[in-house]
Amino acid sequence: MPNATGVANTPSELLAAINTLVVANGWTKLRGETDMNCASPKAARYWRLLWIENTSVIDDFRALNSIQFRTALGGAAISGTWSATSIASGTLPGAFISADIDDQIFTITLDAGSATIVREAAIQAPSSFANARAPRDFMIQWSNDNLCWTTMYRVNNLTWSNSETKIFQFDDGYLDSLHTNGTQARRVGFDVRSDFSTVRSFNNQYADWCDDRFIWQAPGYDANRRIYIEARGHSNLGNSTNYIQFTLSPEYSAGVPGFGDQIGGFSGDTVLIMDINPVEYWIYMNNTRLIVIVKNGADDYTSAYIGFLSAFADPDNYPHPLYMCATSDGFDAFNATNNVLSSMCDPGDEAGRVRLWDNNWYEVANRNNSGITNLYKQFPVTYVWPYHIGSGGRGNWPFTFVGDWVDFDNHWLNQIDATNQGDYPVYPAIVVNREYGNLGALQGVYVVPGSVVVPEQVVTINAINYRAFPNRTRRAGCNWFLVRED
Amino acid sequence: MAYSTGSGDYNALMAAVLAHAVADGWVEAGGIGTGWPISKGNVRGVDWSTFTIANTDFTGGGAFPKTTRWIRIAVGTSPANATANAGSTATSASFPNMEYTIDTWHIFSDPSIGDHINVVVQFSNGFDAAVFGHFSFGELNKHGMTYGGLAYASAHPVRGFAADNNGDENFARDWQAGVYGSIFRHFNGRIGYSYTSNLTYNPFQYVISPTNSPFPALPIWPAADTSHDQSRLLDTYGISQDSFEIHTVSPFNLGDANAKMGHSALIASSQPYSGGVSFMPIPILIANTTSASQTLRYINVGSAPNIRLCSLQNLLAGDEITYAGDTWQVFPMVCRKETSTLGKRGIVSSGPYGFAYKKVV
Repeated sequence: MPNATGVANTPSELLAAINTLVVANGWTKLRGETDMNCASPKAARYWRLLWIENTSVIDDFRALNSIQFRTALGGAAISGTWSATSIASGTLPGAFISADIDDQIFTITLDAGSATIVREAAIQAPSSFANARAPRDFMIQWSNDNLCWTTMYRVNNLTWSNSETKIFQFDDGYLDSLHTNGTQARRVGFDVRSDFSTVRSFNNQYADWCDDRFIWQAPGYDANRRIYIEARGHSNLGNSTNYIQFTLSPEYSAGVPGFGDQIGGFSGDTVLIMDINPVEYWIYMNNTRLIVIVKNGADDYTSAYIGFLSAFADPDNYPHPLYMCATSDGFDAFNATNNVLSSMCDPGDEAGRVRLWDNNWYEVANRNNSGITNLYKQFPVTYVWPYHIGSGGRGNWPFTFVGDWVDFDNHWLNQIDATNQGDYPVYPAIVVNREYGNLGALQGVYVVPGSVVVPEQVVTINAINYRAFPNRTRRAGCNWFLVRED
Repeated sequence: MAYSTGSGDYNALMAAVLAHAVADGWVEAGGIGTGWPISKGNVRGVDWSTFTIANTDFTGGGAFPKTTRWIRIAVGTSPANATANAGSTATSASFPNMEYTIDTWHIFSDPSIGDHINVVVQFSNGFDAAVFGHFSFGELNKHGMTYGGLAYASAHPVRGFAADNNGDENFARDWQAGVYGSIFRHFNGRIGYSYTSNLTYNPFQYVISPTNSPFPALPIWPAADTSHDQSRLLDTYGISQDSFEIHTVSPFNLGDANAKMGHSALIASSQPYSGGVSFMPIPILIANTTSASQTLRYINVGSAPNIRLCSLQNLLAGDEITYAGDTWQVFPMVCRKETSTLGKRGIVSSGPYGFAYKKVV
């Protein structure tokens, strides 16, 4: 199956790499920014001022006397079409005042009509209440599609006097601190349109609101069984963690802006956690699902699966057997150690989801929140076999339980050896529901007992290659899986 | 010959099995037309014998003395060794119900995945018109593994009548085990069966080829060229807990009330949304003789050839299903009834659970 490997310096780079692979193999990109050149000078059609809540709650208005974006330092204002989040009176780019918007994010956007370089912004504060209503904390960002934004410049803690004019310059070579370097853009996935009411301070690691989001239409099985995968990158410099957040839906409407809001989609968080440093990646795809595996540092492998299961049912009865799982259901720190932060096929609480025939998403969970390295849930409703295999305790033969609950050291995958010839079994990873039986198997993902493979080892079975990966830094018997590589 | 069928008594059955095997290329040790024992490839010898036991039939609440007939099926290192092994219950697999006239037998084989013969018999016990038994012998499906070979004889040692009257959990099932044992097995979250202390008859016997044994040359692993029974055999991956309360809280749980089946990924319920059923393989793992759980190790040696566990919730005995171009025929483990009949006094039932056999024609 098509696959790619390489090194990504930022989530945006990894998203671009995914895009390159899937588009080359029949998927359709509906949106997403692949431009990694983020240093000045930057030619882009759209430029905006992203205005973070800038004062206390005693004044919830935003106001300016004027704003200009300029190509040359001290040059003429760039003409175009201006828009803003909310204007109560006045006209951009001249004096205006917003409506009372409480603590919401405010944006002023220029559509230059064509790709245009901006090196300078000139902003004049309003004639009154300047220090309360002029932008104290803001970013200047560019976009090629008016959807995904990249930060060019940022400033905060400004003070203003009435009608004061300030010039903000980002001449050639300038690079915002968020980016790794001039060709390794870093963007934040949150979307100001869908998340505008969430207040984050200027220094919050997610405050750039870049909406770094890809949406792909995978061919699926046919026109009635397509899937749409959304992925957006995040970076939290505060806890040295990068993220890619995934969601999945069987339908898509361009008029629905929110992440996870598509009809039939999953609105929760499914998050691939990565180191803030460059990571090695493996991407596997076919027409119906996407797998992303990341090697963080020397030995920490995180993973995500998004797409169709191979269902134990025909499409008439179960048209969209979708499964989605990654490291976590939240934006946990990369260095957090918890049993619940796990792999795509051995999900922790809330990290895995399956879509049943009733069109609802249900939790798939093998692991509890715990400081124990491998602790499985006792009575999960939906789980992935054979990582979860039982809820018993343990005892000695012939009463030896291979149940995984209570005492890990007896997990049966930890007790399987290869034959004397080096042969060992591999098992499908099956999503099982206690009431509904076997729902489906993860496509191209197989469970292999520990002690027989090493990380990244290529195993050939019947002339087909499979690559072995462990579950994060865990190396016990129940922490391994193979991914079909060709 | 990949499939054959017929009817008659146990002698006719074993003659039909012999004919089927010979048609598949098995060799009669004494020459053509001499009958059992037979051999083929890594299965260096197969033979059988028979014996009778006096029992009481409690089916339907009565108590009627009867004589039951069993067949012992055994493999060996040679035809003569197989004959010797078949002479003892300790070195053979025990197959009951041969006192009944067999209404229909089904014999399946598929040399393309290894030499084996799978047999299903159907008979009436006087109360139930369709009671079933199963046995098999040959070589495990190695799935491409490179060890030399493991020859086995396996039988479902479950009598087709209520054989005792001592409690709600011990009527027709005989604490069955082995490759075919499933219902009333105590999964308990462990792999397969290990309740050896309650086993009445031996369900499984195997001999390992001396060439390229799958096991390390250590005394804790089974030796080659020796007859081994089921005592270190694990044959089904259970996914369960043995909590009676859990099984009874929901009528939809896989385990079902009173069944103690547990939640097994490999014998999942029929999907309620589709009526479909998962055919799940029966892997065979051998454990070393270490008793401490921390040092217990398993080695997977293959699976029962062309046999699958399945739910019969939406299927009847003898139904055929085609999956991916392969035809499978399903049969109850013992007697298909509602789940609620499991474990009931005087009732012969294996609930809605059965086996699927690949039918190559």
